[in-house]
Amino acid sequence: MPTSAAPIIEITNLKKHFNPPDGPLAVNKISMAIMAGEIFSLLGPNGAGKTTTINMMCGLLTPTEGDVIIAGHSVIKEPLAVKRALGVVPQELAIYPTLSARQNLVFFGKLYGLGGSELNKRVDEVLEFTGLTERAKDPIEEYSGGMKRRVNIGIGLLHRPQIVFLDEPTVAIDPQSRRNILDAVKELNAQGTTILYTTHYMEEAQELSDRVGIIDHGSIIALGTQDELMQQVGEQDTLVFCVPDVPDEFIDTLGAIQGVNKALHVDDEIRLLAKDGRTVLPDAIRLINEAGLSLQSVEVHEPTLEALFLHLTGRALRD
Amino acid sequence: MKPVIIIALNDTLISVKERATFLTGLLMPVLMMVLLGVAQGGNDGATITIDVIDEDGSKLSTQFVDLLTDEMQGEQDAFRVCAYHSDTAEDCDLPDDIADTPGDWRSTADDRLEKTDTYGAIIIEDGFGDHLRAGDTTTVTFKNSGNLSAPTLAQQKIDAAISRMSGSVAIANLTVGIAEETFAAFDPNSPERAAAFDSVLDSAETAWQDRPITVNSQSTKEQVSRSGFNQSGPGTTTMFVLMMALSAASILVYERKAGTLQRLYTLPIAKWQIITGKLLSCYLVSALQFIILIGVGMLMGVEWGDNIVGLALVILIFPLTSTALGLALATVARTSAQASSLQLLLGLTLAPLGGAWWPLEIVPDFMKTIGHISPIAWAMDALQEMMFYDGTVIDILPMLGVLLGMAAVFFAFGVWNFKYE
Repeated sequence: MPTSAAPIIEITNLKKHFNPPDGPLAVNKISMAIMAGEIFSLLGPNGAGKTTTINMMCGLLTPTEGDVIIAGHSVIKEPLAVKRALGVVPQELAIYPTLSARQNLVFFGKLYGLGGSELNKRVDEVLEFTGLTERAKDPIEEYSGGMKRRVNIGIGLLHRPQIVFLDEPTVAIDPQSRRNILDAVKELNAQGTTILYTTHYMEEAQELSDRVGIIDHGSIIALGTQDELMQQVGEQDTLVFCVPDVPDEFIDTLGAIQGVNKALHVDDEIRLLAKDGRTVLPDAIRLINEAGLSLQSVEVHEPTLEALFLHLTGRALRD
Repeated sequence: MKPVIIIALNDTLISVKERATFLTGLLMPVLMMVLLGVAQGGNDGATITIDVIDEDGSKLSTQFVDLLTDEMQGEQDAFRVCAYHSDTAEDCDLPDDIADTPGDWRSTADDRLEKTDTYGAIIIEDGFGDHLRAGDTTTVTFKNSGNLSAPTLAQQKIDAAISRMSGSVAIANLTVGIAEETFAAFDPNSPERAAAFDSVLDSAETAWQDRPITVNSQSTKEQVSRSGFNQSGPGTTTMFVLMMALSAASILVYERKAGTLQRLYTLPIAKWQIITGKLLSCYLVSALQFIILIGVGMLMGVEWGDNIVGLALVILIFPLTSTALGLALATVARTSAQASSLQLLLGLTLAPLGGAWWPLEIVPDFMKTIGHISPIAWAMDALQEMMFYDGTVIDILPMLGVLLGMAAVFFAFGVWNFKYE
């Protein structure tokens, strides 16, 4: 979907401080704009502030400071007007398990102000879009995890919103269901819907997004198109060594190799960020062998958003 | 208002589809109504069984037993007198040969008392008649279980029988004594004197049959018996209606944890509409449960009274108070488990405190006062006023007023303390 130059969402100095002054500062004065028609991904590890940001944007949480203008309406001053423009798909399966998919959709459709034949038409369309027409009358508690996720998404689309917020919609589902959801997001965007997509999966952000905002500890640490973001990390490779039982001090040894910009230990993996991965590779393997460690596999990755996050924070996205 | 109704109807649909609602909302209260009702005497009212052991076997002791039976069974069959020497004691569950084994009478009576088959045993000891004939005093032993108010009532009946017997004996002794001293009519120990004593005693007893003074007890209201079901019906109904309405707390806390409440907040409707819809559903389900349990009670013989308007007002107002309490509870519980525990704790505390398990008439005055912190006490007062005293709407207005006041306080606290975020 071609994006417009006009922002449909403008976030200004958005801040959320829970139970101040001692409580956590979940979001720290975020400012950014999301353009009409784009897929914007908010990428960050768990606890980075993605959900808190979305919750403030849809009126679930009151910002400590700042404001969000959505489709021309302030979320603080005109929350109901903002909510009419939004479709929100929460991270939790916020559906009624003892009701069928159709009963859930009819209930939420009515609350979105739909009625009569229009409601029935939209429910049928959403069931078709989510591929649940055949099972529409079954209680949701009998659905698979992926089907439940699709109902969860479908509810947010009932009233044809201009903007859809999807908060980690692929958490804890099988690869096929994930594929279906990613395809549905692209199709939705192709129909003209602006998408704000939060995830901690780098691959999803890379596949879907026109632009990406990387969030960590409540602050946006990088923002732009994928090309723009890759320029920040430079032409760096990521070397991934699978080595069990690595002592932490050994990471410093690897970090001292000439050409290595950063070294990181994540679970059973050692990650090295280097301008030319192939040059660094022999020295790294030699040091691992000399240390008596068991090298199980080696991978060399081209520059990715993961590498950018590593470059900016010194940590992996999954931390 | 439309979103409120949509949410209320959806939640009601969910509740009705839930098997637990049927089990805890209908099946359990009906079972408890039956169990408590039967335990408290079913539709017959509580019958107090008193054993009578006549070890004397004299004409006077037999007369005394007849008097006791007359006094006790005149009380609307509240007492069942089981005289061991008589073959006519029906429904007493005594051994068939009990009349022929006087040596076992005392131990049988003690066993029955210990097993609470009886409330008491009256023992007329050997020599009872001789003492009376000689103008001496004698005693009758009354053993009792100390159970509730039954012994006091039984004691009153024994006293009445003793007064009657004492009066007749005194007349007989006095008359025969005058004849003996004034007219030297017969020797003190002669059969003639005994015959004269018996004759006067019989005449006195006959005279007692038509009591010179009787009480004409009149009531402007038809009395309904306090049968087991008439106590268990309203008690069980109000307790389970309260517990059903308190489930508002569990529902709100569960939906907050599950995320459905937050999803509703993201819709273009006001937060008060969402909460009101949820509470309206709990209210509707509780009121519906109230109506069904009243119907079930009627089938079991519970006499709810003729005041249909008053009953309807209780059905409308008591679930309102209970739902408001559920809202207040929802604001102090952090997890579903906490909400369920508090719901159970409150239900099982307020029910007995408010007189749902036993009549508040039998508890000390200070407990009656404390019991009225429970909404159940006020609902029970209103229901019992209509059931037992033919109460009008005016009569139950104070109780309904208190229930409405409680509802206002609980709502105010709930709204003030409710955390949307």
